[in-house]
Amino acid sequence: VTSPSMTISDRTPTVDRLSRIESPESAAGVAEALAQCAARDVPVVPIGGGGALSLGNPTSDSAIGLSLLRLNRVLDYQPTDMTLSVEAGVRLADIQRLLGERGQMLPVEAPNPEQATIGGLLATALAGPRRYGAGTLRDVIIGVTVAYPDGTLGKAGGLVVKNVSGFDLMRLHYGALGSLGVITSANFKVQPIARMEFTWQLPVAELSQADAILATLRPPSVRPVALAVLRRSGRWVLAARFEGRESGLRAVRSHLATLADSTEVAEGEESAQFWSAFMNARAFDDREEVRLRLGVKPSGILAATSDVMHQFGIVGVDPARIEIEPGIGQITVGWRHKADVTEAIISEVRRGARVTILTAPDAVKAQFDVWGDEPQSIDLMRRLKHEFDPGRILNPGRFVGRI
Amino acid sequence: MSAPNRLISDLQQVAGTEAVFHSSSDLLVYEYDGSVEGAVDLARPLAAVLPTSPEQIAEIVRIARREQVPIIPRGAGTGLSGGAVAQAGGIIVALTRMDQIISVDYENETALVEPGVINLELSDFTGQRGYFFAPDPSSQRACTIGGNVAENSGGPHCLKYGVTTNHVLGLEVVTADGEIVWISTEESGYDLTAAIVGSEGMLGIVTKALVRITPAPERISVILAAFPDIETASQAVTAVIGAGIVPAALEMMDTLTIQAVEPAFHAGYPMDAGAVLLVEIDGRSDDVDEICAEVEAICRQAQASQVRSATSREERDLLWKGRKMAIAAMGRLAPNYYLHDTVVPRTKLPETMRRVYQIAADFDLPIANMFHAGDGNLHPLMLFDRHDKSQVERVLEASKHLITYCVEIGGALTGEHGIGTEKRGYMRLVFNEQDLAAMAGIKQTFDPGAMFNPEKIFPSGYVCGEVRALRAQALAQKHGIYPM
Repeated sequence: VTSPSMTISDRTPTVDRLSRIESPESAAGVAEALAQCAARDVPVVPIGGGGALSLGNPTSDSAIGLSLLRLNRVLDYQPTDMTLSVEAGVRLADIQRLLGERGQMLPVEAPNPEQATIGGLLATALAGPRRYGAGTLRDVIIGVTVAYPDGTLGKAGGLVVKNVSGFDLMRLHYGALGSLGVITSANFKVQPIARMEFTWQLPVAELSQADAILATLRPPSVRPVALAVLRRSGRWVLAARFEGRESGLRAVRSHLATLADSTEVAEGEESAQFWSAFMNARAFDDREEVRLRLGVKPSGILAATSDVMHQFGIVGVDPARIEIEPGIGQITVGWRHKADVTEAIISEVRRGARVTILTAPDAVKAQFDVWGDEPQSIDLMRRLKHEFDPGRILNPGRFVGRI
Repeated sequence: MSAPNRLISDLQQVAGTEAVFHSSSDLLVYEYDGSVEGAVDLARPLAAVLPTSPEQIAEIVRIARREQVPIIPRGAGTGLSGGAVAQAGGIIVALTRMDQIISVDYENETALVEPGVINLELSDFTGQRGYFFAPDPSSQRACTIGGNVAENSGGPHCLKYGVTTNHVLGLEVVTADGEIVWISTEESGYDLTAAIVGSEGMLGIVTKALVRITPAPERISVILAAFPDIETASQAVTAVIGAGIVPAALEMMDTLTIQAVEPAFHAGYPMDAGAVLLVEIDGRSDDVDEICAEVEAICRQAQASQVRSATSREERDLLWKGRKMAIAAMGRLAPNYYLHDTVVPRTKLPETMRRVYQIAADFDLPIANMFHAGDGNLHPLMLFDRHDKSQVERVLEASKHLITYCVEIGGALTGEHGIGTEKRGYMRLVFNEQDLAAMAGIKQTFDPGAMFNPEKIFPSGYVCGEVRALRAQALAQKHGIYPM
């Protein structure tokens, strides 16, 4: 594996730190831009909506930005086939509006969907709580076209909902943070929008009380599509989003009525807004926030949360953000950066969970690899990187193992 | 000792004498898999070895590396694209003795299994606690989960529940270096799990799989609707999907299939129907009742001559029996069959079926159809007698027409059977040199020595490493860029 000729800085990329931004108009243009950068050893930071530019380890200071925003065409939408093909720069909100007209949708949530692009969502693999019941883009991607640093454009998959022709490059690039190639377009199988939804909120005095409630929400007949335990003004609130038809949801409501006397129920649009507000609050817009994503087994999530809260108790800080997603085994915790607090918390929580630093000031990233311990398969990952990006021009240093 | 003899004795040392087959009679069974002779060449491996642990497999890989012979991983050998046949010789590593369900974590809805566990066994085992393993290929009574991982298998219920890749969370893999590594979708980094799933044994040998188990729905109903012809049945399919309904399964059978199946299994399919649809709806009890009523109304509106539904396990099983046993019933019609697997956009089903029957007429071949209509995943089944050379030739020629047509109208080469050797010659119909080069990048990463399952997926003569380099060079020159 060759080492890069460029230097990796200790700074997170931001738009104003990029030496310039190129905005090709076509997939071929993206491939050509990459080939030229590769030939001149110029590092490249691909950019979609730009909302997750701070995700990952710091990258090269001399990088140029490669904006995908001009690749903004819907290439194909067949509502009766439930398939969609879009260029990488199409905004999520535009996609959902288009599909919504036909009662369909893509299963993905993002902060600021008017800004977020489908390419960015694929590259970052960021998802919301609805993932519990509806899955992620990883589950519905059926084809992809990717521009590589050698100037090639490789497609994989197709525009049919079931396909095992050749290797799965769709999922290889999902969550690869644009470090193997730049997605120029992607195909999906879309889903129907449920006829009805509501969100049920239940205040719980102690986390341990949530355990019993969560257990009753496990049978598939009463299982929510999204589930979160949040902290609002110092109190825990369990929020569950249910989707389906009126008939089936009636049975769900009767079940919920047996669990508690005083609950709050948001219907329809109000329910959807609750979750989009939840997602919007996850934007990476506070440079002083340290935010971690902890992956734990769903069965141990409340105990793991208590451990995390205990650590904050020791340092005498109340985290501004704590979001528990019991269905998918994910805890998101955030606080205002203070050097000693940040160091103590990160060092401690890394002992008990898979931890990703979603956002943090540069000083924190200089100290910790945001992706956590290297996975056992890191050698294979390095070989993969070398195979697709031998000159290490794509987001150098930014992804796992500072690859 | 001669090289082959040394190889055999080394393998015996690792796996035990009784676990290594090398005589021609013992190897006879390993010359085949479930695919059709003619579409796939048969070949005899040097040896077949049946290891019992990842460590043994790692040793076997190191031996193969030293001797520079290929390794062909194999499950139950039910594959239909020649994936488990040793076309380039080498050692078949059959994983059928590694057949333990290691652990099931019901609270977190996962199961850790060895690759030789039979697909249906995992559903049967977890079924006692109300769970199932969602991928359900027709061969599920025989095929292994390791094979499902290699082929990214589907099945009727993947319409709602997704294919194998949607249910694999992590894999233990023996790499080309003979290392045992754990890869996982839950860890940071590249999704190597997804790269392995569906890679047809070309990247490594899976020795454990962490899979998702799915809670059984509250209620399941199956609707049988009989139609005058494929056209009207296809319209019903489109109407059901158009109503925002995602059935758990949506299967179609044509006249020839019905006529083979019904006398054998008495599933209650009307013998005079032009097409039969099986629609399975599952979910919350009240929703299922409501959706079934809607589906039944849609079918009647689409001129269904008969609509029946079943909710009890026995009745549902009977309706499904005809579909599940359809291929077995084909023995009543002809000594041999070639089961195809192509995918078209769902709305192109009617015209595709017209073309299928045209091809049947043109080549004077009976073609029976039973398929996953909801996915647009066709399985035209060509009936023939392999002792009749002219029939075999017609089958192969008709196959070309069929596959080419499906690709031309926007379809895929294979929905769930894999490319294997069967369809490698068609890869360039869909993928150009740049596409293939990207796939070759994955192969190069995992297996630069091209030891695992050679002669699969990539077109004949394609060399993963060099072609990529040549391609890159050609492109660079096109742009006026030369290496510094």
